[in-house]
Amino acid sequence: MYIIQPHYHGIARTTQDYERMAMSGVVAVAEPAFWAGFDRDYPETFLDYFKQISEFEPTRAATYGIQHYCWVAVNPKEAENVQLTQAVLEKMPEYFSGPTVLGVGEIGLHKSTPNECRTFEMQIELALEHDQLILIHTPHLDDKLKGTTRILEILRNFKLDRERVWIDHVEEHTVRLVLDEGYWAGMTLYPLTKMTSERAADILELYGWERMLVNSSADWGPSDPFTLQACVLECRRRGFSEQSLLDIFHNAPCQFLRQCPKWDVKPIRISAEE
Amino acid sequence: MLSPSQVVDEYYLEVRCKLLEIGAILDRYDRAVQRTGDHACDGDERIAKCREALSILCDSGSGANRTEKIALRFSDPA
Repeated sequence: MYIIQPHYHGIARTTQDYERMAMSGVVAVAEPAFWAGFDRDYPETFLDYFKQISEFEPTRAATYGIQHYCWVAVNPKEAENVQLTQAVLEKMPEYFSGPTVLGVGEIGLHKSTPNECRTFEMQIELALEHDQLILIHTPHLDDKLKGTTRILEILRNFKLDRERVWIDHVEEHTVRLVLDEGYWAGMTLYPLTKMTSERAADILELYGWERMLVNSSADWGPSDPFTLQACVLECRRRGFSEQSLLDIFHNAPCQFLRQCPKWDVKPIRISAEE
Repeated sequence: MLSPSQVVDEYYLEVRCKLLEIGAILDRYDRAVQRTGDHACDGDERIAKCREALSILCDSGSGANRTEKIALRFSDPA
């Protein structure tokens, strides 16, 4: 099995993750810019973080034959600080030319405050100005429906190619909203508290996998990158074909991410001998 | 022992997730019946036990003792 982890916060994980992922078929990961667990005070802290995920982290992954890509952004939790966000955005375009930088993400909303909405708009504007892919975080729990609805409202004000926008962390009550408007939808699998591998398999059965991405949780909180492999196993148990598994867990990320010319992992087709 | 608010704080998300998971399993069963037209399991005692357990979960009051009642419901007669 060949697997791509489209949403992986490598700097919060041990090298053993990379080793085990490589042993279980992961060939590439993409690391969105994330919250550090505390609110950063200085724009330069973000810039060093961008350097870490765009320069250093690829070398750690490469040790195990895994290609590492990243996204840059001010994440929704810290985007409440408009002044700080503006200062980071002034420097962010310098990173767009990095050989492994795929686009702007993860942006989006956390508590859907006016400031968050403003900084969300600022980051969309920047992404469009520089022809970048966009990755959007939606709130995780009780505020997911409200936040997703607000994100879709804001996006409608922009003239953009919806196939270049990935809205992440969808669940049963938000997946249709995202797909019906023509965006890519991502499901993030957790070991507990949020979306599970079994429910993700249900959604794949119900909605298919066109414009659908499945990613594991992998950050500094309770999370497990191998929830993705658990989902592969669950889908296989339900009778998904091997080509379907490749299409979901490898080729779909390729299809979305290769819209950035730097992405060079190719889709895989199984050919059987006569 | 934990205070009432500590119990809620500690376990709310876990309960939320487990309830969603149970809902998903029951939906999965309904879809399988709908897709196949196979109603052979409708009278399955295990399904009936699960539905009874869910009603026990809704019992309220400090003496509800839900866990023991559910364990007994899932037990063979002594």
